[in-house]
Amino acid sequence: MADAIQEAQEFLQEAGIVHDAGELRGYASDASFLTLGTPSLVAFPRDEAECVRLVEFAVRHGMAIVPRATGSSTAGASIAPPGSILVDMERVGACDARGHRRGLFTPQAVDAKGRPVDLAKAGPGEELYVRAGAGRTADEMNRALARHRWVVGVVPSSSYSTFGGNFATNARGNGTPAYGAFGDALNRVRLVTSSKEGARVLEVTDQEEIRRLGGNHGLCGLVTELDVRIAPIPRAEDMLCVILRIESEDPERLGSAIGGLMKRVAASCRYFAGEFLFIDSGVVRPSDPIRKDAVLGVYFDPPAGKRRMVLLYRGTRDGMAALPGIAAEFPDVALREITYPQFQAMMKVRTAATGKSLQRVNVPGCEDFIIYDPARFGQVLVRMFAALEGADGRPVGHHYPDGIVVHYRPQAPLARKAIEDAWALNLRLREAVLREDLTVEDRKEHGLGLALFRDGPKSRHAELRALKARYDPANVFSPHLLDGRAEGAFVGTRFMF
Amino acid sequence: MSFEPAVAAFCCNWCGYSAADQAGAAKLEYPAGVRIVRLQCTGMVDPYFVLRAFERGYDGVLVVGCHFGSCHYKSGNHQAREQLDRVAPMLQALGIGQQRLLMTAASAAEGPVFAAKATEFVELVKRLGPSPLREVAR
Amino acid sequence: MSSAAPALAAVGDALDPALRILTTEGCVQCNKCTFNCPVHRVDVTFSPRKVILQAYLGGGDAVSERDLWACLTCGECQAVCPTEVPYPAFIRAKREQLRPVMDRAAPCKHGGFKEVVARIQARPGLKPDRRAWIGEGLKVADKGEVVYFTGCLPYLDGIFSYCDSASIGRAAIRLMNAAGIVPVVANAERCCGHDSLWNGDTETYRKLAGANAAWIRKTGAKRLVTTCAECYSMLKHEYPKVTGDLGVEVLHFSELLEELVASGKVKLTKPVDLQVTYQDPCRLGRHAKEYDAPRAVLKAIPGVKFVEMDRIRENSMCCGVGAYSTCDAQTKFMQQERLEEAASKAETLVTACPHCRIHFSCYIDGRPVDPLPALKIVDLTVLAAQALE
Repeated sequence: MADAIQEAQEFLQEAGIVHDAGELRGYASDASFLTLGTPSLVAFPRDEAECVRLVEFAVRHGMAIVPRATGSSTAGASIAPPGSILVDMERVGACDARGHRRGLFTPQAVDAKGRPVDLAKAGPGEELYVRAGAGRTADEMNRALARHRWVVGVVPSSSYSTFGGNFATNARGNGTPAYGAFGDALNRVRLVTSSKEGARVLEVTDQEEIRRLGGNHGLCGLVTELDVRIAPIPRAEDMLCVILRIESEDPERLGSAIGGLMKRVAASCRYFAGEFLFIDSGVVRPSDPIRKDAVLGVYFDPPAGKRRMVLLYRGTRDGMAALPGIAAEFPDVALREITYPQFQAMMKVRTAATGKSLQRVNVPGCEDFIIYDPARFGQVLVRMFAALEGADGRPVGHHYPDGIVVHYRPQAPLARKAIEDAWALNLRLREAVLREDLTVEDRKEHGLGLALFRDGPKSRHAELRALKARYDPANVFSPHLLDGRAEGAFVGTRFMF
Repeated sequence: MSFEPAVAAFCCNWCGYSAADQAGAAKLEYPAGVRIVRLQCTGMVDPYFVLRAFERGYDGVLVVGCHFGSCHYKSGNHQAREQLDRVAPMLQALGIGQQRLLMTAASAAEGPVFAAKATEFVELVKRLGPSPLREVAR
Repeated sequence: MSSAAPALAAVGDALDPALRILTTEGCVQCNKCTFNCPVHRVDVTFSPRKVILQAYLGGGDAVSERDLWACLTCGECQAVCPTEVPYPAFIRAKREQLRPVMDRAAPCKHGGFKEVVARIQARPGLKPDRRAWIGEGLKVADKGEVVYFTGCLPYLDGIFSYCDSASIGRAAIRLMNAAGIVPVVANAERCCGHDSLWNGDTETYRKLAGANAAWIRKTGAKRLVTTCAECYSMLKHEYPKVTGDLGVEVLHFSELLEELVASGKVKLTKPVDLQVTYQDPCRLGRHAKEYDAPRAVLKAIPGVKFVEMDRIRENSMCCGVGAYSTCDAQTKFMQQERLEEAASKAETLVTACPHCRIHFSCYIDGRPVDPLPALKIVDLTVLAAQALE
């Protein structure tokens, strides 16, 4: 196997594809903290042509390729078993002629037919996409789009994940209420797939097929370019951002208020983003400057004995006209209009709150569940808080049109016993909350590959196998994910610690 | 006991060093504190060499190259002259003193010139006294 | 919590416990730092996120020489980090810890001169002449209300002769004299120690800081002003940690100048007809959070048309070199990127730090890696002085 890696290294050298070799500890895992061993080779192709050469090599030599982006996946799909080539897609479509990532770039906008559009002249009503390399992130793209007052339509909480990665997991997030999941918000996908002889380049424009490919976990090929839906940033007069504070000593009352509010909002409002987080005294550090912010500071110190949730909505004034009136009907709810930068500042806190520090692993299994009937939220919260008594971390979530999605990530120090305890906590939480009568279902948006695949619907297994057969007949892309080698597990059970 | 200056002498291979060599062979006297460092050309002398010599406690730095017009590499000694003209005010600003740096010339056959200039420079440095950086020489 | 203790220690015992916690508990491995890092853009294997992960997993000495010394300490990573992990401070602490065991003579990439000059000035017994560069017609004093901390200006031109950095100091004194201020320029002044501190030579830094604090306090001055962003961030934000309160108000020259112009003590009346853009120095901007005073000064100079770049203020891109120790094969590409951006806005780039000016000038004076429109690099103080009648 060392020879195979050696050969691969020589090939990359000769082909002029940037790569790194050695003890690549940083690549041994992704956000799942699962590991299949420390890889010894990672390639950084910069465009489709280099991807084609890589795939050709892999097919000819029977080597596996594992695509990877920022490694923010908790599904474990971007970690490479020994002997495979880890392909970091970060540079694809994100580099200048010299192969350096361009920090300052001009986004290429296209219309629904793929024709180039001048963003400076585009009107807010147009259906527009940005033609982006798979290695770009929403963060970078938003920075580049900001001067034209557009944003990426669907941005997961990890706005640092790449477009390729978002497509691989069919991510949902900010913007989903308007545009759906990531796979729903694409117009065109280019990928380098395999054939029995070598590489194939495919361009997919059929919406249904794109939807099917969403959530492919890198099984089908190296996605190189996508046309990603963008949304206009409404003018300040048209844009409305609000922050709602909902608190109570009684979790049932709290949940009922939130659920009731959300039910009414879903019925009478249109919005781009509905995001919430529970706030306790530990959500930001004591020294964090946001505590001193004149407007936002007050949200960070909940009174003793009360549970507090902060809910953020962003949309147009028109679309959310009914919201203040709705909020006024709930005594536990306080609504305040904020500016877009203030909205972004709170979202930054939410991102950090969902994040995983190095010392801790997020142990999923109950990473996210969805409550279809908001009226049940009070009962769900009671059971949730009871199960979480004494635990670290705090739930965050989204208000989507189809229901309330809650993420809770028990945080465990990186030690076997601690992870097992966190897993046990998860199971208690699942038992308490995942009930049909509460209309709660396990969403599995994130989840360790273990849970995502093994415990996921069998129909999804079948779908993925069918996709693989069509797109990757040579079975070079992450073959280990579907070959059942780890006893029904998706990626294995070994953690990095 | 009077003070014996330590002087770093950067000499170019073709002229300065050969001159020093000749002086040695002819047993011409020049002070023992002169430590010779051979370079291919004085054009190689970097401000860092000068500064580092002073940091290490040398009381003076002498640069001996070819006469202008005779540089083996055509213009290396001109480059050295320009560099050292810029370094001298630095030494003044830092408080080391620009008189502790001298550039001169001695061709390969001028052993006696080398000996004389080295001796003269050491006398000058003696009059200036020990370098303010001397106490902590490493 | 038996597993927590070894993990903390793994990042390096030399690190301050608070720093260890901030790095290990703060980092959520989101990669925003890396995507904003200017070095990463030109070298994809350089990644702050990876360094933290590897240091955590592999123990304290796992930071490679490249990772340790290619970092500009510019702070772009920290500015976008959702949990504000202080990555530059982490690198600084690692340099201090690892420098003694590394196979490296001098971090200073410019032949080592800057480091030697700092060490020389840390020695007692020197009698510098720090006024010779000033020249005729300008008034300075031994005692007074305002100290002008000159930094490297007395000797920088010895190395970077094509930059005439001394003109910055002369312009500053001229402006102060015009406002009726005769600043104190002290021979007792020593290097501020910026490079020593940032390159891990804390011993030299402490000596320099101590020496400077002593003479500053003796002047009895109320204010201290400097034209250098690095000296400014050191004297204002770093010195108090090791020397205690200096007893003076520390100002960057742009702050003083803004005040003098606003109060009418200095009149900028001669038109300077230039279209300019402005480079926020890392040490003045992200490190010290001063973005407004230089802009106010630019707006007060008659005839100047000021056009902002796209990446400004906390998003400003570094001039490409940090503490003179990071210049390498990749630096030119970063400088090309930033100067292209500047040249797309104006023909003159204004800086507020002599080192930004030197690094950019070095690039332009050397061999740009790609075509670059004509661009002049001008110091803010020099530009303002041109508007004095």
